[in-house]
Amino acid sequence: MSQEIVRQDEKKPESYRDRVPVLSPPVDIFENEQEILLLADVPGVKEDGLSITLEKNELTLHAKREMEEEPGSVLARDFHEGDYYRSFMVPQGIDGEKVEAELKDGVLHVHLPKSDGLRPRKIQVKAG
Amino acid sequence: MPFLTRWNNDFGWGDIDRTLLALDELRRRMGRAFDETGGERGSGIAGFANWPPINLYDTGSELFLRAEVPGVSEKDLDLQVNQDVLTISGQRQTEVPEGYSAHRRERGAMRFSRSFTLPFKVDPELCEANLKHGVLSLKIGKAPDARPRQITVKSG
Repeated sequence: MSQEIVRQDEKKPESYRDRVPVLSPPVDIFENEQEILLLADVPGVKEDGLSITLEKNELTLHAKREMEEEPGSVLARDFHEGDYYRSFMVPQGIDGEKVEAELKDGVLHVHLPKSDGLRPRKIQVKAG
Repeated sequence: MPFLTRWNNDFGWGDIDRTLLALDELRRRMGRAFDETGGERGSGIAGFANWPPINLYDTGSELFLRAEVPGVSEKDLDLQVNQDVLTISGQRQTEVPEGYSAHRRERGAMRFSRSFTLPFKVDPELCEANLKHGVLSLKIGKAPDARPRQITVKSG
């Protein structure tokens, strides 16, 4: 499992090549027995600008950043306009119907619950 | 054993301790430098040396500052104005949630502090800060005595 989620596609969507710059947000990926949890830094993104898809076993994050109008002349600029995009291979056995996401303080949390087959099972040993 | 005593006091462990202390200090400083900048953890994704990224705008009568601080809550953010120096500091914690193991960690935990010398004195009463969707917006007003003033010329 750890091998699969570590593998990452670096391709960018065709339609974005000549338009808005695309940024790759830093992520943390955690796992426990129930789920895989992915956190991504996406400051400036609102709920309605988010698109998360799980197709086959490719998870794609696409977040549109709302840049507010620039008030006055620019004295310093560290960050620029740009949308966030990143995709990952996730292991088979993620329950796509139950994937949940939330935004908190500009951090995207994606919960990828494991289907029953992927969860570790305790095997009872019966005394004969 | 006078010889051993002298060896201990004049050379011996004292010097070795000092050397070790110096190495510890060096290691501590390097560790701190890496911790504070995020070290190589963020390489290839985003540099943490100048975190948080800040945009600064001038409207003439006010300055507007925007900083991207994802994962930082209001209580972990500290804004200070001292005369004409503005300091933004705080911390971001990115701990592994309890019961989870980590596969990938790119989001650095850090303490940060950035200071700006502004081209005028600031009235803290005229500053407004707002944190939304991980973006800090700060309006900075000029202090009354930093504003241009009309001087009347008396005759006589």
